[in-house]
Amino acid sequence: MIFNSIEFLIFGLLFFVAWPYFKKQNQRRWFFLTSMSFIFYGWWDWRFLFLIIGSGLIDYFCGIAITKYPLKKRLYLIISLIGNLGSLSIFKYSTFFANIADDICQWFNISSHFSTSIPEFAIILPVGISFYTFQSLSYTIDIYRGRLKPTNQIFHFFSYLSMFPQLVAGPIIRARDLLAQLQTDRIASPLQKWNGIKLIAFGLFQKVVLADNLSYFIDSAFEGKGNISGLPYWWTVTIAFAFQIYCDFSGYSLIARGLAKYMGYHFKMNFNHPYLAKNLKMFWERWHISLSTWFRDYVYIPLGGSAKGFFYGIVFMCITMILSGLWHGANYTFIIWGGLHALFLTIERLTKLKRRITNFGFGSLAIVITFIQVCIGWVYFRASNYHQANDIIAQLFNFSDMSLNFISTYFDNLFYLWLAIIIEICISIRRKYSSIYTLYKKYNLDIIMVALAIAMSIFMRGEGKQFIYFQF
Amino acid sequence: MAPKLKIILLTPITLILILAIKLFIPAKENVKTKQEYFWTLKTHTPDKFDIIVMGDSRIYRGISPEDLTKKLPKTSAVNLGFSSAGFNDLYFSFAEEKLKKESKTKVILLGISPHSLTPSALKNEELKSYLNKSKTDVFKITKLANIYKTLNIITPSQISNNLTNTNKPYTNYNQEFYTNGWVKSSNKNPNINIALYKYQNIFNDNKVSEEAINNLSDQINKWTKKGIKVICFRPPSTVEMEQLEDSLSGYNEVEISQKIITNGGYWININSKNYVSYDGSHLHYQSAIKLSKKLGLDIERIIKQAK
Repeated sequence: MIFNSIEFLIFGLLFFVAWPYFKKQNQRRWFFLTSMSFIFYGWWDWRFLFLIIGSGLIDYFCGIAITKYPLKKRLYLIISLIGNLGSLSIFKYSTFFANIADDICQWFNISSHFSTSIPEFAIILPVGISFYTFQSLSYTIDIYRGRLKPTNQIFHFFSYLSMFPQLVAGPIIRARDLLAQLQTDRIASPLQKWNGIKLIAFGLFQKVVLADNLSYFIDSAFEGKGNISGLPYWWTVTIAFAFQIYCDFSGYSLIARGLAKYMGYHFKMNFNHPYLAKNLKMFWERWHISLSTWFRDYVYIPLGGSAKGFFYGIVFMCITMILSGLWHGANYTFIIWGGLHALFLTIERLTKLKRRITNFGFGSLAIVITFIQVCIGWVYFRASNYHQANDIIAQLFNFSDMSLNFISTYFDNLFYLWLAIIIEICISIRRKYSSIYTLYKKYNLDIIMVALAIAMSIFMRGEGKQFIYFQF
Repeated sequence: MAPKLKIILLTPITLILILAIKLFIPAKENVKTKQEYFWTLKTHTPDKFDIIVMGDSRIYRGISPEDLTKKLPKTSAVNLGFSSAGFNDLYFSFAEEKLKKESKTKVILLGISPHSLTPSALKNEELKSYLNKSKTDVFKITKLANIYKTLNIITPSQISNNLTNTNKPYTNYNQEFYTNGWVKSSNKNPNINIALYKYQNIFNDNKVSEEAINNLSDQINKWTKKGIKVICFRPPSTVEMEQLEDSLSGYNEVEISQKIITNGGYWININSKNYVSYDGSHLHYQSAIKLSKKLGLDIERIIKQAK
């Protein structure tokens, strides 16, 4: 069930009609939230429920065992890690690893059939597996580190793990943030409700108006249907994809946060206008914040972080970025994407060039350079294989073909790219000049903006598509 | 303003905005939604018919069931043509299911183009994609179509045309989708070379399959034994196209027609010179009507002869 569907509209209405009744009492609230979340998730394929229940149960019991048997707490943590990372390896990475094994065998002229021997059930990728696995993992790790007390209530745990607004595409919520919120009957104030509505409307607009309308142009390019080439074309495609993935994922996060807010809960911000970042470090502080901080807290810092010196700091950062790439998908292209970001971040740390540019008063130039680096990374992220990505990168710097004929062909799609860029620029200006924000608030322009977002989501909606991040 | 008031005011403001958009920007019918409705209905209609028309795009654009049955009173017909459809078992069973069991004049009309017997057509990708639609999707597309119609999409070009008061044609293709499965087609700039150019490569490593012909013959035999009249013809296009297809595809009309007749089917000869195509492959709607009427008369004659 996706947010921009009729099924979800009906589901949401039913949920919010019944919610005030169920939320008053703890057990009833947790049970209701868990059951509705399972319906929401099982709508894709009811068999996926076994996996989330299975990995959830491992962590629920491991969490209790870690505090009950402190001497064996390492063992229970390992069980939890094996349970979570094991299911992730089977369902997400088995085909990829089998292909690698086949490739290696081929180099040594050994006949192998690993990729064709994978059981059929392991080929299906359960929706959102990477999200809830990481969320579940953070629960046991935090208990192991003594930063969280486990819950003894199974529905309390599952209402945290499977809470439908963020179940399939995040934000990845930490147990210590949400378990406590779920422990009381939270009454959403009118302001929270209004903010929730705003987030849902803007999220829907980002997804169905901006991201979905860009998808045809981008898909045509990457599938070779457009049969167009040239530097301006491929830069437009790359920039369009940068905005498509941003609007798609940020749109989902906004809707998730809005739904939670309307229920009385608070999810932290997941995107903070990342394309306005002046360097890549800032970009990663603004892009998919819940995942970046997860990797920081559970991979980068445990490895040693920057505490072991400059050199090791860079090595640990590279490991973290490559793992982050692998988290996104079982393909070499994602590893290259993570590797490219690691390379750019290393250069950034070594030269401090962008900080100098910003200090000289050329902040906008630093934003543009950072954006170009991010776009180059997106080519690998979107391409079906690294050969295709390399070809596109070559096109991006091929100055011999400067044809602009594609603009008239894709006028309708490119309109939404301009709209997305203009919105980001407006936000940047609004942040810079507080007087504009004061006027915005004074004249209650937010009502008009929300109404406009809803109307545009109805009349200017693009072709309905799944959220891109569901596949991760 | 208090947030509570904002929440209350949001609904009327949004409704006013929606009404204003509907009034001042007349939305064009969403072709994609219309097509989706047309194909889904064609695939999942629960209705049963006396005459089933089968074939590829030359058929769904070339045969109008309404004109086909003009001389056949109390006879219902449907056009079950699909893009790049190929004659295989999946397509046969799908079509047979749509036949009215109690009908006294069960007819299957097959438009056998060279491409419909090639390996690429036998994949029946288009048909499969619609057959694989979930029940929920079918319900949404067929039953909620009217809601979608009132919420037609407005494109930036439409807004720009409205503002500048121009009415540029979005496409030269004119298509009207009929619930009986026909697509009434024409083109503002007809050019018979469009398809000719495309068809020069379409049969590379994709020749007419002997196996497909035999399978089709066997199926005709089975249908005939069940009392179904199977009437076949080669969909007309242009003389140039027929020559090109004959030279490149391995299609032998005489041989195929003989096999069909041997297995109990009927073959109708069609002369492409009598019809007009707008792109070299598909018939202009006026020719489609003409062809449908002609085939209707042929069906009437065959039914009478059989009695």
